[in-house]
Amino acid sequence: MTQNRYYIWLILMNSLINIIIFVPRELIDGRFTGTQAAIPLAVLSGTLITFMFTAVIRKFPGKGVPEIFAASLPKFTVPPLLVIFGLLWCTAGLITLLSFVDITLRFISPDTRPLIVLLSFLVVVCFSVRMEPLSLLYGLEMMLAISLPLIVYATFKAVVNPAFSWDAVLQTFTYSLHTPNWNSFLAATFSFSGYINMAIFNRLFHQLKLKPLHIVIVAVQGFIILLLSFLVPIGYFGTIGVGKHIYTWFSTADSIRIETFLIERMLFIFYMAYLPLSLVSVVIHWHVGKELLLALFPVPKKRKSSSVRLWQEGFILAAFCAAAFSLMHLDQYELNQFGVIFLDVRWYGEVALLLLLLYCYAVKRRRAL
Amino acid sequence: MKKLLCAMIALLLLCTGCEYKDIDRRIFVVAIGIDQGEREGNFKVSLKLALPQGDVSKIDEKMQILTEESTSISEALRRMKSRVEKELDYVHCKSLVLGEGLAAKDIRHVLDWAIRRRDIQLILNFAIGRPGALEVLEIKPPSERIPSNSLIVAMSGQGTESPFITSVYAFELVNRVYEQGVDPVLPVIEAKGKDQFLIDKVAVLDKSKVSLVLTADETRLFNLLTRQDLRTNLPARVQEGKVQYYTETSSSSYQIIMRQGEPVIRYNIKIKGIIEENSTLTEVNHRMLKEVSSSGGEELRASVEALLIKVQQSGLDPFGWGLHYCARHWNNESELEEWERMVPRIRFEVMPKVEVKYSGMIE
Repeated sequence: MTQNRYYIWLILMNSLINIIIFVPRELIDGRFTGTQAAIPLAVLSGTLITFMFTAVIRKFPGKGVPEIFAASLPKFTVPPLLVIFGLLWCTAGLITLLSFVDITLRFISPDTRPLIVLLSFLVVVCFSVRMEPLSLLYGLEMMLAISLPLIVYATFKAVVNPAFSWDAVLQTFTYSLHTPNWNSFLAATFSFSGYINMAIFNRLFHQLKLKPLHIVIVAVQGFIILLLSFLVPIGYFGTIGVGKHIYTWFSTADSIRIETFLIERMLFIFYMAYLPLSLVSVVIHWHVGKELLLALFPVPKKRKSSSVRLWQEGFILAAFCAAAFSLMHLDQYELNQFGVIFLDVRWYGEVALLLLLLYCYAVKRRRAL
Repeated sequence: MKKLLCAMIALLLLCTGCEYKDIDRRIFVVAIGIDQGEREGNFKVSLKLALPQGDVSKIDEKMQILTEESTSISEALRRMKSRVEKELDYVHCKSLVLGEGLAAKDIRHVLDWAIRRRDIQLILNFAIGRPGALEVLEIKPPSERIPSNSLIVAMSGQGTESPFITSVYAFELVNRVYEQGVDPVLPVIEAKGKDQFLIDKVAVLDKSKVSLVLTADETRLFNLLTRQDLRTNLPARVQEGKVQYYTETSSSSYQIIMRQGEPVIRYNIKIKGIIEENSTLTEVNHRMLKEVSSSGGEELRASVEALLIKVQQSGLDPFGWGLHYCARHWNNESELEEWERMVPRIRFEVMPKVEVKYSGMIE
């Protein structure tokens, strides 16, 4: 009986989190070679896939992907598929987490040991991942209510700053005629991937209806956020200098001064806005990953079921945490490369999931006849 | 299970404190000065340190300056660590002064260092110190109560609204150093003895080193052309005397237009003013207001044109005309070369629109 707005929050979350997960870097790397053309394409395809995915998953009210697969696909194909998709979600959370640990170490507390930071994030995340899915959606809404105004404020301050170079932004616009860049396209579609969490959260939505307004909201928010995350850093660091920054958006936030407030540096406000948001996004991605992998385990008998489930969940989360710890040794370039590969693979994964669901729907229709 | 969990959380809480240094074990660097060293290729790094004090009412400016010469900036900073008992903290550093000698050679090394260091803000004010960075850091104006505060306040434009001060943040400098079609500028701070400084000039750099220093008057016009609402006085000549008017609002914009194949840059300057000083000793009337407006505009046109021509002849581009041109042309491969060929032929049209609206409190 969950309301439709939670569906929009899921999408908005992914859209906003893109600046943590190396999307602006990819967009900016292609600023002379076709990002400008890739963004509208990504908006089109992202909206289309969102629409199709939602339309098909609506036909399975109250069911998650594991149930849908189990009902319609051959038995032997289900476990490998669930493992693949589960790992994909696990990686999504991992990259956000590692990237945010890196940001925390660079900008906020350089003196703290990396493992302590990671450990404290993991404690929060692992406890939250096991919460009820509905509570997660409520939590997401709360976190957006806290973060979104701060992010809007930071972006507004960024754009009205007299040091913002509009000429540099116009200069990037004059590179629009280039053929679209495939990497930028793949990265940009990440802004629309929020719908994919419906793979599990669909269990809560029984009457999901997509009105045309929803589609418009999805397209417009994605387009605006993509444009801003691409252009605002360029206005600050110039068309060439922007390529030198690793965490482009955090450097941009570091360049904004608030004259009349307790805190002078926008960086801290920006960090505080993104801290809950990225943790919630990790929680949601890992929750979906956990639920997908949990479907591999046998459903426990009724007695002592809760403790068996607990061990199963604990096992999956321990594996996720182990992956996080083992990936901490990656250096900056490797982490970036890992993020980029994920962004690419994710898109193919999404398309594959969409096709699989369409197939499942066809099977269901045929059986109903 | 629950007890174990609680115990673990309690242990974790204990853990967080171990790498944190309290404020009384830190010493804050408020300004960094970097000069050329005695030996070729060396850096002489000076740090102005503020000592944290508890009671604000009994505050007494306490500061310390450390200077160290070494082959690299980082090495000098590390060596200075063993000369103070507390940990040096750069998080509150607000200004970086480059010695004039260094600025005449190459600033990119220092800039790269400042941007690369993660604990140094991107809203750090950059300036050139004359005769050297150390001399500027040593200034301690009598009006100052918090170490280096006067420098910070003056450079960021939070305090004095002097029309001669151009404030340049680290991110702007790094933007302009790498951007094509715009050149970096830096304010020049001159040390006048031990308790005064003078910031009224701006230096234009050719990407790496200072190649043109504007005079105070030119700096004011430069600020008028690059900033909104510059608060300044400007002269106008009426009859036999001189009138000074104060600019209540000002704005300026420019367009690059091609007239019969020749590039023309047209500046539109709009000023609303009020008469501040009148040496003619006659009563101001409506006719005279008009006269002040038109002759003030004429005077402004002449001086702005002189500045623009000086900048054009230097071959530098502190206004970003090149970028402006490129941003409005779609032939990305050739636009910059095209512009550079055009630069010597540019003509300027300055269209000042000065409206002096009030005669002040008396006629």
